[in-house]
Amino acid sequence: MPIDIRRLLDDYEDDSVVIRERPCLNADTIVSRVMEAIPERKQRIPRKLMWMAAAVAVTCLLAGCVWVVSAIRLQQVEPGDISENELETTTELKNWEKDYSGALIEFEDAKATNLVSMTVDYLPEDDPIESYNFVTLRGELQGKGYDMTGIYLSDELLDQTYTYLCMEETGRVGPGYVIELIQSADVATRIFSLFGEVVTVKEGEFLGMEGMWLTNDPSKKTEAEATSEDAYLMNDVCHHLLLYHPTDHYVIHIAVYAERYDITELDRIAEGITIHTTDIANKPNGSCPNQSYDITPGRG
Amino acid sequence: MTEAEMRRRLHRGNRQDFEEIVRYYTPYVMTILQNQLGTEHTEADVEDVCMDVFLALWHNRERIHSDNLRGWLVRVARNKACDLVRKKGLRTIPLEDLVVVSDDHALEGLDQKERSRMVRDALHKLGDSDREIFLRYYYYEQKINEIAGEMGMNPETVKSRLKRGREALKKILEQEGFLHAD
Repeated sequence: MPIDIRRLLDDYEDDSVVIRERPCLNADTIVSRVMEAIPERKQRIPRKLMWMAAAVAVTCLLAGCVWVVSAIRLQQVEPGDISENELETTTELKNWEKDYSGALIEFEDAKATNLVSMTVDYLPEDDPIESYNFVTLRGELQGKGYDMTGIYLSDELLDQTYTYLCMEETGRVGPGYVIELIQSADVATRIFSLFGEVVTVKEGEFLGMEGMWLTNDPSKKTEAEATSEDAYLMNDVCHHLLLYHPTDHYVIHIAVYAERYDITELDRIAEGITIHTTDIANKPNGSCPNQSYDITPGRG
Repeated sequence: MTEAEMRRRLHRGNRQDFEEIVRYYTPYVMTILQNQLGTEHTEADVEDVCMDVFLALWHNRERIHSDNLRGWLVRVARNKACDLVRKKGLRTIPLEDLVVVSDDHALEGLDQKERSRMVRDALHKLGDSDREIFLRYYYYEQKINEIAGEMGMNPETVKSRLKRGREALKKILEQEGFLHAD
């Protein structure tokens, strides 16, 4: 049977040739059409989380007073139950946005500062970093469209500091643990969505940042959640820690698989994180207005 | 951003990350599709297929484990373009591009992976340059002049080396028992 020689290459996958691409004038249209066709991530707003956020504000306010009086670094606030009364009596939040109309959790004071990356001294497993699912600072910069020829950061900083680390298991994200650094420019648009019921919470200032500890139980998903596009992301009970830096405006999100790790593991991981601040202005899709020769390591 | 980092971002399932990936690869995928679909199709056809490719990427994001994301996109783009071409029955195949499979069911009967392995092995027996010309012409559907321009060769040289590669590949596949001798 005669066939087209091209049919021999059906399902063939090539990695040896890269052809020269032509300018694409309708790229924006295609991107818009694709994004419109993709279902929106479910943005549910559980009432319980509103209580949590309100309680965080109260705690932060109290913690702030303690800081002024004692002039010492604030310590972590002990966990406490959040009562509905606290919610009702709270009229202003500090940095956690209480209008949840667009996102589960927003940060009302968030504004773009400089790009940051992290190194992590403590990880619950001893796996080499290469075995992780990760995004380096270089990847973050490239992902944001910075022209790398104008970046003069050291290779060490670009390739050995990270914005995302995920212990991957059996080829899918989770259920090990995830440490992600959300840039200040992205915080306002980032959606933290947790499936199921949030069964445990504490809140307070931790390492100079505003913290929220959550445990979610996806087995208590609603029917709508269970059939949503993102349901696969959260199938197991997880502990989460969200840390918001009040002046640099980035957020550290740490999540661990509850069956394997205790919630205190979140604190241990957080304590081992060092933030590296660049002088590169942080814009979601912008170019690179400032280059940096000098990096200031250390937590802000 | 490296291909591995692209894949990691893809796995995160974040819309913003995905939009960046789509924006990054759109010109490349469009170039592939324009080559595959040629002038017989409208720009709207090309756009539609391009959109299908990226929707396939989104829906399969969890199952993609190869770091060769570009290769995955090209394969899917090519297969979707081929489906459209076959559906519309627009392509005329030059005689020199026809090969005779040894069994009417050879294509369908062979496991996809087995066929890919056989073709890959045969391709790797070609010289690097001949293989690249063969792939550019038959896989990426570039025109002779385009290949010549990108590889810095005379178009006549490309033609003669393409012929040489085609004959060599046919011979290898005949020896494997997959093709009949002409």
